[in-house]
Amino acid sequence: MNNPAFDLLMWARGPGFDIALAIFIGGIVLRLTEIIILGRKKDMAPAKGNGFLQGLKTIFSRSVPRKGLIKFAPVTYLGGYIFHLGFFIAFFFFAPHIALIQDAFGISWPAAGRVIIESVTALAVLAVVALTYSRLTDPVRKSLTTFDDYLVLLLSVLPLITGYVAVNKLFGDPTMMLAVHLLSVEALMIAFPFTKLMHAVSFVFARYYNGSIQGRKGAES
Amino acid sequence: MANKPMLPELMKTHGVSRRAFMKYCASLTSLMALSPALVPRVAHALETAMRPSVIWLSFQECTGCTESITRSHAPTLEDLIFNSVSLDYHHTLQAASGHAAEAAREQAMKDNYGKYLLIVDGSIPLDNPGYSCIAGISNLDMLKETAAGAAAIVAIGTCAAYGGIPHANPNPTGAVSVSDIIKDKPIINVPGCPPIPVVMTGVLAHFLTFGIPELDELGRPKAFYGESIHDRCYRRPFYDKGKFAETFDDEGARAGWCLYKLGCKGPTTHSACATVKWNNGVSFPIEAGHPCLGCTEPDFWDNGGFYKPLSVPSGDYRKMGVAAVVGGAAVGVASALLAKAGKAKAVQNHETVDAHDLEKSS
Ligand code: SF4
Ligand code: SF4
Repeated sequence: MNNPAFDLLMWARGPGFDIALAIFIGGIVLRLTEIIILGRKKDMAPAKGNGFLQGLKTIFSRSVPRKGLIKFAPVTYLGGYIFHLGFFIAFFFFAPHIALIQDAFGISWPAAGRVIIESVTALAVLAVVALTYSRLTDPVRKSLTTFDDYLVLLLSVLPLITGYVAVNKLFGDPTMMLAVHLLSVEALMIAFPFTKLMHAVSFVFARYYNGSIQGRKGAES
Repeated sequence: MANKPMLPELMKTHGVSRRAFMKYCASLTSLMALSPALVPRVAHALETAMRPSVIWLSFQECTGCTESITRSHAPTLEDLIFNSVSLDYHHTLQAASGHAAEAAREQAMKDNYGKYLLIVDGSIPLDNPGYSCIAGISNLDMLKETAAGAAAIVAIGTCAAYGGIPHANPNPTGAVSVSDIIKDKPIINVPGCPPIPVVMTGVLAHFLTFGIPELDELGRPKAFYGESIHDRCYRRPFYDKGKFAETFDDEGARAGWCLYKLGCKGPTTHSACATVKWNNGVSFPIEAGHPCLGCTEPDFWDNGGFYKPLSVPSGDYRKMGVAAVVGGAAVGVASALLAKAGKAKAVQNHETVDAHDLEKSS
C-alpha cells in the first residue's frame, strides 16, 4: 500500500529537486557566462574618474530608494521592500531551510522563531497582493506589464503560501502540502534563469556596469 | 483453546482488581476517543465478549510485532485482553507444530467460518512463492485461503499494513501488504515497527466492543493515528522557537531541543507514540533523544535516510549541481562566442552608405 502524498514528497525531494537544481544552476551559469563574455564596448575616451570604485558603490547604493519615490509610487516602494525582506527572512532564517543550506554548503546560523517567520511570510504575501493589484489598476503600469511579470509574481508568492499552509496545517494533508511546497519552489527554480527572476543575480552586473560607465565619465551614480 | 477462561476469571488468577480493570477500561475508552459515558459499556462488552476465534498469520516478518504485544510489560491488563480472544493459530506462540498446527488452523476456520478475526503480521512475497512458505503453503495462498472466511482482517505492523522493511528498495522478494492482495474484506491497518502494544490491544478491544473503528485513508484507526507526532511532541515549543540540537551530543541535545535537524520525521508521521508512549507510558524515542523514523507510514525505510532532515533533498544532488555548473558554463561560452561571431560578421557585412549612394538609389 502506498501513500500518494508521501510518494509525491519523495519525488519532490529526489528526482524533482535534481531536475530543478540542474536547470536553476545550469541556467544561471549559462546566462552569466554570456553576459561576462559579451562584455561591453571598450571606452576609448580618457577616464575622468574611477569606474571600478563607482561601479562597486552603485551595486549597493541602488538598494537605497531614490528621494521622493515614496510619494511617487508608494505601493511599489513599500510593497517591494516588504516583499523582498520578508522573502529573504523566511528563506534564510526558517530552520528547515537552514538545514538544507547546511547540508549543501556546510554552513549554518541560528534560526528565527515561528512568530517572526510567519509574520514576515504573511506580510510578504500581502505585499505581493498589493503589487499585483497596483499592476492591474494603474493604467500605465498595466500596459507595461507582460505575462512574464504576472508569472514571476505568482511563482514567487506560491512558495510563501504553500509553506505557510504546510507548516500551519491550514488545509490538506500535511505531507501533501509539504510536497506541494517543494514543487512550488522547484517551479520557481526552473523559471528563475529565464525570466525577470534572474534579476536576483544579474542586478549585480547591471548595477556595476551602470555605475562604472558613469564613474569613468566622472559622474556620480 | 475453546474452553479458555473468560476475562473476569483471568483477572482473578492474575490478581487484577475490579478497580484496576475499570481504570483500564476508562483509559482504553479515552484512547479510543470515545465518550467517558461509554466506560461501563466497554467494561461490560469486554467482560462478556464472545471471545472470537483469532487466527494469526506471520509472513515475512521479524517477530518484532509479536514480541511487542506479548513481552511488553507482562502481566498486564493488555495481556488479558489479548488472552481473552481465542487465539487458535499463531505459529510462534502455539505449542503445536507442523501438520498439527495447520490442522488447528483448518479446524478453527471450519468451526468459525465467516466469523473469525484474521491477524496478519509480515509482508507477502509475490516474486517467488518459495521465498516464504509455512508447511509448504506459500504466504499468498495461505493469506487468500484464510482471508476468505474471515469477518475482518487486522494487519499488524508496517510490514503487513504497507510492506514495511521487506518492501524497502530494492524489494528483493516483491513484498506487498495485505491490502494489496485482499480487496473484499474490511482491513484495519495497525502500522508501527512494531506498533505500540496498547494500540494493538486497543484496536482489538474496539473490535470486540464496537466493531471496526473509524479508519483514515491509509486504513489506520483514527483514534490512534489521527494526530502527527510533531503536533503532540513535547519538544514542539523548541521547534517553534527555532532551537535545535545540531548533533546527538551538543548543548541543544542535552537541553532537549527539537530533533528536526537530526532527521526527525515527526512532522509527516501519524502515531500515538507522543501521547501513549512506550513501556507502560515511560518514554518514547524522541523523549529518549532520538528522532522519529516515521515507522507508521508507508515506505518509511525509503524516506531519504533516517538522519537526513525532512527538508534536505534525498538524492545525490551535489553532483548534479557541479555538472550543471560545468554544463551551463560550456553552453554559455558557446552561445556567447556564437553571438560574438554573429556580431563580427554583421560588422563585416555592414555596407557603408554615403549621401551620394542615397541620391543614386532614390
Ligand atoms: S513491522 Fe517491524 S517489527 Fe513488525 S514484523 Fe515488520 S519489521 Fe518486524
Ligand atoms: S523533535 Fe520531531 S516531532 Fe518533536 S518538535 Fe521536533 S521535529 Fe517535531
